[in-house]
Amino acid sequence: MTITAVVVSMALLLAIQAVAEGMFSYIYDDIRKSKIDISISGTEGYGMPPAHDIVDGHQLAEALEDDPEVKVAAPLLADRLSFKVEGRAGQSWAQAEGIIPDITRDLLSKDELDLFPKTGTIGFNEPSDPHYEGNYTGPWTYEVVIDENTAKEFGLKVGDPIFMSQHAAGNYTQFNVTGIMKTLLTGEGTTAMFYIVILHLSELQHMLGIQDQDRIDGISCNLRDDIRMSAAKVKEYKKKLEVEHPFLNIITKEDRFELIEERMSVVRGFYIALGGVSLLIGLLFVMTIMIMSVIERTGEIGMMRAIGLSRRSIFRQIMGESLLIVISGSLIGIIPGYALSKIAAWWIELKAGIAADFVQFTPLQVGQLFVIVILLGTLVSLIPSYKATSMNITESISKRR
Amino acid sequence: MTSYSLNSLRRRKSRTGLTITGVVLAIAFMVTMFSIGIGVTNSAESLFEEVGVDIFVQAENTTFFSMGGGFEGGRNISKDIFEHGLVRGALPRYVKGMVVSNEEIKENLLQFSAKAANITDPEELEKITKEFGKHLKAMREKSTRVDGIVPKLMGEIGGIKNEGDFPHRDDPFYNDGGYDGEFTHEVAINKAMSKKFNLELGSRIYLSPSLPKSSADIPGWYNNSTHFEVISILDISWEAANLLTCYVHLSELQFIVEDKRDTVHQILVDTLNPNDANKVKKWILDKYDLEAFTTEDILEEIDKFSEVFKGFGDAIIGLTMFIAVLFTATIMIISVRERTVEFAALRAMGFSKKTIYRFIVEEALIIYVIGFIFGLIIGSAGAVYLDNILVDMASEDGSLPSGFHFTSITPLLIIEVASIAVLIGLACGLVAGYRTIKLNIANTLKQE
Repeated sequence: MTITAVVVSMALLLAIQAVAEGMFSYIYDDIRKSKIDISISGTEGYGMPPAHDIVDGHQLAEALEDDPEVKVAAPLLADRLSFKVEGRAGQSWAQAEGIIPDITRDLLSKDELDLFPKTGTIGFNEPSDPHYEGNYTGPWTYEVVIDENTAKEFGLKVGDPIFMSQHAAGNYTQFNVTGIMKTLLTGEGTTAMFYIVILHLSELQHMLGIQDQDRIDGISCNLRDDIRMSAAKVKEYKKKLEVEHPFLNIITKEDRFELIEERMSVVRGFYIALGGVSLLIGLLFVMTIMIMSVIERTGEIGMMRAIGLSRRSIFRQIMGESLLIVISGSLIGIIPGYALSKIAAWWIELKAGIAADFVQFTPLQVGQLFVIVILLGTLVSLIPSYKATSMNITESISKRR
Repeated sequence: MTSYSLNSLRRRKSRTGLTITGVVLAIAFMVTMFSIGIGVTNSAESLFEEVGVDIFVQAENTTFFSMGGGFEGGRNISKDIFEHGLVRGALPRYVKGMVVSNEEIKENLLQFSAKAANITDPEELEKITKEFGKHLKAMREKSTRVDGIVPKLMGEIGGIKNEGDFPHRDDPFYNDGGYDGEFTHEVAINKAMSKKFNLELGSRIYLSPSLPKSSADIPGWYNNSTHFEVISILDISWEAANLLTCYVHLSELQFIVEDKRDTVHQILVDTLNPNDANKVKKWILDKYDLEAFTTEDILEEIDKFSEVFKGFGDAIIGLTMFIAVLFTATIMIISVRERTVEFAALRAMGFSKKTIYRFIVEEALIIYVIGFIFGLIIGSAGAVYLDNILVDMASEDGSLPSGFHFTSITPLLIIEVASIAVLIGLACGLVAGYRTIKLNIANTLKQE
């Protein structure tokens, strides 16, 4: 029973850790692998539609690319678009992203590139943004890359038409699907109705009616290798940008890491508290059982002392018994812990609709937790061990009689 | 009888103390965890009650939390709903994030622009940028949420204390389908706006959908932005404490953002009797290709979103309680085994099997009742502490309405936890006491 309690608490802690640490290390890794060294954005606004408040987006990105420090500067615009599909009644809403395909491609990490179609330029036949030419008088490409869920849900394939508009009941423009991309979304649970469409930047601007000022939401920059490898040089460049563009918010990779660390410390506190309670109860259980065992064996311990066994040997024996329970429980707990973390990943996938590849069960995490549990186990074992060594020999033997 | 059980627990002070500690921890944990779900649901319910909006009308195929890009002809639909016999208010709402400035920022930024124009040295420019940094940051840091509304269609939206009101209750700039009527320049701001930008009644603000391009663009930005005069300061209890919001006439906002197709994102419907909300919802859905959410629908949506967390929470509570049950049951079983002779003697003295069984069940129940009392106290304190942390965290980014609580201890929760504690205590006692029924008096006493 005592070992079972330790097994359950160890398994619970391991599973919680696998989800929480896994999620953060996934995000951390994503930032680390990302080629985006500097993100430029406009105002922040919580709980409201995006402001698209950076003007002359194309020009600004071009000017940044002319900076000797910058290798790639990709402008980005995001909003919601209403869309309709032939043979389906009514309309739906999609998260629309406006990009310049060839520039964005150069900004994608290898993992990110793997999500996009291999055909054309990340799924687009036209790599640039031709409609922007001549102050938005250039030709429309009407190209759109959609995500797998949208394709599956609406039965769309490459070459199919899709009709889009800024508002429901507005004027719909026909686009053609040129590529289908993968995402982490499974199309189930809370993200079931989340659809993604990616368009050429200027075409999305035109759809949203913000082309007059060439408005965008942000620009992501990849810096030259010798700059990006040095935190001091990136910081210096950030400072330069802040002076040149005093109305823009500039965020470096380092800033993003700091933010993640800050959040992680809070989450870590929570999950330690969550799993810690069960571990504490489990260890209290071990301690109580050991104390009871010492009391039960009072006479036996007295006899052992009488025949010459030192206090140290008795201390070691009780401590050993106690630790045996903790160690075996912790070791056995690894298997159900692994199973629980798999169940947690399945649950996230089912209810949140996110492919939970991030749930991590690594030897390092298991090892760290194992050491912590053993240390705490040693701590609680001190009390019964001390109790056993502090017994009076005569009294103990007389109790036996 | 109870005194016998109490005495026998008292005789084994350390083990009883440790077992109760385990139970206290488990119950406290259960109380805190249960309080989270209840707190969020209760806060959401009371927020909706306070707002007084019974139905939220949105574009087709949206969920309440992703309201999409809006729908056209919003004003006419609002008026139609407003005229329904069961409706008191049908407020059309267009929402947009915008860049805001007050007179003080304007004055400083114009100075900054003039100074920066004559500087070519980058170090000098950096110095000047730092000097005016406070004003630059105030403008670029956060946008304000601007709601375009028609005040006279508002109905009785609750939780708002206002100082001043819209002199024009209608939307005069919208003139027979055109955007060429009287532009009122009236704006109502919330307390957070008033505080952050130091605004009072009669103050002027500037709104624009975009940021200035550069320091040289500042004068141009002020020329192209639209100025508004503060005619009301609103204390809105259901809004996040540091969320910047302001309210202007619907057509004036639609005009500024060049969305002149009478688009709205939402219509907030206030029914005369909240019990009629479903009737009105059905009427709206039958007439228009739109979505309509009652407060019940929204709470269901919240539940659906929180299912993933609830599942985790329930599993963690379940496993923690399982450990606590193992703990108590084992200690009780050992305790009964140790007292076999004592029970045999009691039987020999004439105590019935039932009575002895009751002693043991009582012991287990006492452990759980004490555990429940202390667990409830500690768990409630934990819930308050957790709420403070979560509220602080969420308030930092301004996403939490004031008065919102993540945890809540309700009588129902107390009854629920008490019932679980009693049931588990009873089960532990029954399992542990089962041995005593099969006790052979003669053999046990003989063995001793």
